[in-house]
Amino acid sequence: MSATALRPATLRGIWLLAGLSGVGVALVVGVMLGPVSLDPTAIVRELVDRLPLIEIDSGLDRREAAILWELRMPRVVLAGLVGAMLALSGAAYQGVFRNPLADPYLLGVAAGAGLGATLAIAYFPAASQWPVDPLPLAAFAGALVAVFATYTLGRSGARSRTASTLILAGVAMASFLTALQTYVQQRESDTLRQVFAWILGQLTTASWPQVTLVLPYLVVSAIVILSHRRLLDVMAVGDEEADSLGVDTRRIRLLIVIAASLGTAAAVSVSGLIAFVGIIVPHTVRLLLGSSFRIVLPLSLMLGAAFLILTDLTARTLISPAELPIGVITAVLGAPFFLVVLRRSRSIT
Amino acid sequence: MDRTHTHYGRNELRIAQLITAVIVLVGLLAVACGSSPAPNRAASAAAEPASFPITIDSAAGAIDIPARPERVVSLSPTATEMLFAIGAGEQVVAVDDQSDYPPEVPTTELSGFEPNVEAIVSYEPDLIVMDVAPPALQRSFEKLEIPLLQQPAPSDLSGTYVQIEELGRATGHAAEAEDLVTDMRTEIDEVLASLPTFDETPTYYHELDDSFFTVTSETFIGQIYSLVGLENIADEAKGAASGYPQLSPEYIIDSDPDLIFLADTDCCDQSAETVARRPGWDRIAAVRNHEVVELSDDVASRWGPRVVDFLRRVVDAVAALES
Amino acid sequence: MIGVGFHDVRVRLDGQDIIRGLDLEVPPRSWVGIIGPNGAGKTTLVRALLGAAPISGVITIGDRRVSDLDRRGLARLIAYVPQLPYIPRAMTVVDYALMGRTPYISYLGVETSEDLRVVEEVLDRLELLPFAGRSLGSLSGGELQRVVLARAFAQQAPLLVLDEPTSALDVGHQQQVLELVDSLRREQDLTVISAMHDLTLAGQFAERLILLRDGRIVAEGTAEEVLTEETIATHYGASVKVFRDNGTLIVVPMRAGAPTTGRS
Repeated sequence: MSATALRPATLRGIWLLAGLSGVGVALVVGVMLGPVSLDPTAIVRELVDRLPLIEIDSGLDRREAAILWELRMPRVVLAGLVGAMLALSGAAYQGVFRNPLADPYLLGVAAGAGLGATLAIAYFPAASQWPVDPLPLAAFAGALVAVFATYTLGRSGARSRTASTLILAGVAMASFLTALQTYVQQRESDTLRQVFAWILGQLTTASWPQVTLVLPYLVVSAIVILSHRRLLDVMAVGDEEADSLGVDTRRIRLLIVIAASLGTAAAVSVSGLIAFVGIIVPHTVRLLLGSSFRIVLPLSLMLGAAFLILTDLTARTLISPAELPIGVITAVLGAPFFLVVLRRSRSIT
Repeated sequence: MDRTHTHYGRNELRIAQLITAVIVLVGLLAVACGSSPAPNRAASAAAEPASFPITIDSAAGAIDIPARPERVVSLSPTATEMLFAIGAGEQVVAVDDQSDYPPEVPTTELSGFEPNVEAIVSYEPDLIVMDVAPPALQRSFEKLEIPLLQQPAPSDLSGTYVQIEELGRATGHAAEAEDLVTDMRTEIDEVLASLPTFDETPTYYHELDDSFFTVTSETFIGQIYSLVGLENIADEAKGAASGYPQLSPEYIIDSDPDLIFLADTDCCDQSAETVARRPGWDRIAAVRNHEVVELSDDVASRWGPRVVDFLRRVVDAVAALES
Repeated sequence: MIGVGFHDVRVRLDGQDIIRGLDLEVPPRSWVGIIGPNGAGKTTLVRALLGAAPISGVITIGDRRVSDLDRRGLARLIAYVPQLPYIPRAMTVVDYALMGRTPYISYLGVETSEDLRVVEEVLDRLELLPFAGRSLGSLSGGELQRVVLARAFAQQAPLLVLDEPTSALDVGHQQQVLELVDSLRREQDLTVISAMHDLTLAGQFAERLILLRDGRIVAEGTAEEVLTEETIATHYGASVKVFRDNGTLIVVPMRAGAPTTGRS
């Protein structure tokens, strides 16, 4: 057999194409459908009109155009970005912690963001008056502080900063922060409904400013994570062996955790805590196409985007004109999915 | 050392008996003084002779009230307003932390939301009024033999009248309660009579918070709006979320309501300006015509006597539509 | 080919002295077997060599000090095969073996054709080419052991360190693996250090034996010199009989004071 027959696992062009098409289709469907029905050709004309240097009349009136461009488009785009980020982070965490049930909220990100959001809702309700909405910033800051605290806590363990120590530290941190959050909620009980809605996750108030707010973090995070795909494969054999192969496992773990947490914190700050995406999507990719991170990472990114766009579409059309919290739908899909993963992990590890 | 217990001298015994007698006497005096304070309420002319003991047939069952309550604890802001409006204010010793109207109510840190039995009982109530009490709480009060009157949010105005009359009978102000109800009805009729007529029914959107939670016309507030003759854009989502659905912003804009009522001015700092700044909302008729009404969160979440003021504001807004 | 030197090496973990003042020279191209009772410090010594345990003293590989080498440098010099390697069941044989090339691939880079060529050679030598695309979960124990060795050899490191290479194998596979290591050692001038608990196998394959006890070397030399009944009785607390057969030593545990039941 010649050398050309041997190849490492690679992302085949056809899968990449399929992934991109999936995202494309989801985008189109997401923009075409909604609680308010708009003529598809008019939608296309309106979007083409938005391109620079092109001026055509789409036939939509001012209100419909506003619905399409100010509400629906940013919402679909945001759903795609958030879904991509959560799926990518989930896959990355599963890699550095060698745990198939790791999700992006593992190191206390969710609890930290929740506490930040609760504090903002309780003590800085003047969201629209300030030049910058404090809620996403508070959630973002909360998430990062939580990860930092978890890491510091994990350093004090006997086997410092190993995967299992960090997971335990993350659990402890999450419990602590959740307790604080509950306390604040009890003290300021009229915040309850808002906080609850935020925790379930929602893209209802999506807007272009939110998209521009999170885009830089998501891009940086994705670039860092994707560039480490080969190294994540190597880390699959454990710290001791990977170290002996010349890989600085602790530093890579730290780097990936920072990148994934940054991206997750940004996503969570605009969408609340949408659960299960970080588990469902990467495992679906693994089931269908293989476990190498060179495949799982890019495809999780794309499948995550398509998944959340379509899930959000369901959330806003199923009981139209009322909205379902998106976290409810992902949870309904996620619970049986967990069983599938558990069954399969018995044979993987 | 054995020479202890059985050898009290006669002197010691006498002293012990004296002390015991004093304690018992003091105890009796304390009990006598601690119970009903001098019931001198010249303020209320309508002292009801012999209307107690009384049994109230409330929605949650029959409540026995053995004597005129003089230490009422209210854990419902609406009930607080009603009590003071029917002249029972002096019988109220404590109200919950959310009760703030009228301004002189004895607000405490009691929570109607997270009720603490011991804290409530420390006020030695002889009547407790709440909107809804969990079964465990009901049992506690039963064991302590404290009458509990539950008055949940009613589905329409007639429920308000029923509750006012209940409170009137329960506190010995039945006549005032009836007067209040009559006054309210009259005022409401007057206000409604001043309504202009419309070719097309005006539509409205009532906002509960800045993530577009709203009410349908099945709720109490919704009923008030219906009384005024308005159509709720959220009614297409009837049956969803028991009257409090979250609407899609697309739908709100597309429905183009004539009136917008904001009940999130306190919790979420919303105002006509913030609404106008929302992307796409400046196209809505209510925004264009400056028909965004800022309500205080309280007025829109209570069903007491001030509902008449609320109704007046709604009618004023509707009248402004004409011009 | 390079040798390894331990100079007054001490390792202290969790307040305990595991390795106490150890001096050892491993000549280039030799096979040194480290034996000793449980808790003697065999595994700790291996980890110290890998730079995975804090030491005082000096360990040299060739003419370089281990403490002067960075992780990648060390990985190019030492190929480590752990006692129970983690086997990602869904990974293919090729991908697993390619991981051995990690010390040569740039941080965010990918495998080059040179890397692929090396792996192909290694798989060929270990008769694993027919399995190249198979997932590790579908292989038998013996095949897996060869795959693990393939990754180690793909590192092209002059020093091979094996931690209990036979503990999970049946007798047939034990031989196979050790024969393979010995052939490759001779072909490629490798130096091999193995920690082993099976005294007979250690004696048959290692050229020199180091008997470790309580962190110190208590016996050192050829199999004949080290594997004596007295030595083993003293340090292992076991009674054995040592037989010679065709120049190889066989260590057999003999039950001391066994009741004579007349069975043969």
